[in-house]
Amino acid sequence: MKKTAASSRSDRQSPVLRGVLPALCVVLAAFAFVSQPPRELLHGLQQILLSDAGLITDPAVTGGVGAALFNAALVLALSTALVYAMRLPVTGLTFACLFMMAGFSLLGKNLLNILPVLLGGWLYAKFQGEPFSKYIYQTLFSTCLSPLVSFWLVHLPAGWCIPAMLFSGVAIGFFVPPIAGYTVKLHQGFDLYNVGFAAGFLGLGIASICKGLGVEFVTELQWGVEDHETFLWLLRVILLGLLLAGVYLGCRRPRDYISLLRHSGRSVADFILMDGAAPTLVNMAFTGAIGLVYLLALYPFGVRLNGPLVCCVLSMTGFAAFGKHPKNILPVMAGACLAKALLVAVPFTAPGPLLAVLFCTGLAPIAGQFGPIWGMVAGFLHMTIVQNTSILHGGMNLYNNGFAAGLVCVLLLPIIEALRSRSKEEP
Amino acid sequence: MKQRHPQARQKMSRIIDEIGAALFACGATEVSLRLKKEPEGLRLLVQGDYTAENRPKLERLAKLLQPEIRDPALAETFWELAGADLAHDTSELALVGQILDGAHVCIEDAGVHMDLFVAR
Repeated sequence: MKKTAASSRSDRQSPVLRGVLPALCVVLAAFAFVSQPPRELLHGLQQILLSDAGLITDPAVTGGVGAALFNAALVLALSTALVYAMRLPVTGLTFACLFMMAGFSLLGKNLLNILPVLLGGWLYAKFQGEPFSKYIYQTLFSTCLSPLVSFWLVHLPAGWCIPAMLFSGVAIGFFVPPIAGYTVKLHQGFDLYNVGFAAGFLGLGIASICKGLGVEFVTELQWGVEDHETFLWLLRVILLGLLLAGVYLGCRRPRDYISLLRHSGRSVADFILMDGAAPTLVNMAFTGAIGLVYLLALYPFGVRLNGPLVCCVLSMTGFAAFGKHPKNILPVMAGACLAKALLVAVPFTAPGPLLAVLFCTGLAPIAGQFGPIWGMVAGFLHMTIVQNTSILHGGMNLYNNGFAAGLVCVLLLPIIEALRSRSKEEP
Repeated sequence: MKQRHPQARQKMSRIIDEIGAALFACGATEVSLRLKKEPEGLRLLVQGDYTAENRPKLERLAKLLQPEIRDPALAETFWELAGADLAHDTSELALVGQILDGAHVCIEDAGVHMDLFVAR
């Protein structure tokens, strides 16, 4: 049986599909250069690379909106170059991973702090005797713990910070893939942010050891409100571009799209592989638009688009190629909003709950598989649990909502299964 | 350097779980499996019957097992999810298609034949 080489597989894909990610790099870079003069932009980028990056850090506050977008463009370009150089096909997982790289570059990842993690992933592949291409997505997702690398850069003296950065980054890249291989069995694919779940445990371990040695991770909240228009136009361009690309590739009637909504979203729900590029790109536009509309609806209450919130929308958009769609995200978001309305200790428009309503969509498969009521329950639980998880890893795990979502799955799935099997037994 | 053989066996074990469940969900009353160890990997030969009303489901299964695009990174990330015996779940069958290094599925009126391969 002939084994088709990855290169021939990737070569057969539509140039429009393969052009989406490079186009996103160009859009981010264009907005960067329009927003800040080049000299300020480079200075701002330097500030971002040399600053703390734990939750919740808005790089637009650290170095300016142009520098933040330029950082995102660079991180995305590097990630895209790696995937394309390995001749991997563009799948839903590709979009999920690389949109997360772009998005989380507006919430803590930067070109400097991800490099040691990538090295760690490469070493893990060598240790396994496998090509790095097999672990590239897990490694890229592992960069969610890259704030730890930045922490050593900022808080250790010159002679110690480079070895500490290298050691911690390599450890992250080396250990997260096998942990992620284990945690996926715990939630059975119902937490789309599986690496966030895995990284949460590793972050917990690292934070505990460091605390025992007298090192505490503390990050100041940085939350921008000045760059709403820039980010709004950026998202408009991205979402409209995706919609037009999907229409161009053939998704022109409702029935071309509706069949995608039948999927529960449980991993592996790679919409590009199962339904094709056209409806997937349209789904990405629609799902991202839901996140954007939600944030704009809160504009009268003082909510302004910034780096972290754009990160949320880009994450939703990317995972709309790998599990999320309007039918399965809305119940989960509704449950989270209900919890937010009832929580007395946390203001309605506080940063944490704002992010959680959008990131809780990582639990969309629960709504897709078990129905909207269970989806709402999952969203409700997520909103309550996520308020208490960041402290466990010291804010070093950028996919904190993925960690919380995994805990929701461990709590909720056995209950759902028990009630379902009981109801099946009853006459 | 780690050995790859155990992973090929584990993957094939999951595939057997999924294929068996999927064929029974298509109305099979008898499923025959032959597993062969070859120098390059493990080959699974499957024969089974099905009910006529489940032919569309079987054709969908065949399509998922013989995808146009195989992504080794996706398979490596998620292969542990296979084998949960949720035969109604398309996503797991799509995952099986990604895990396989080769597949040939032939649907006839009398039954279905599959030739599935996992490399070492």
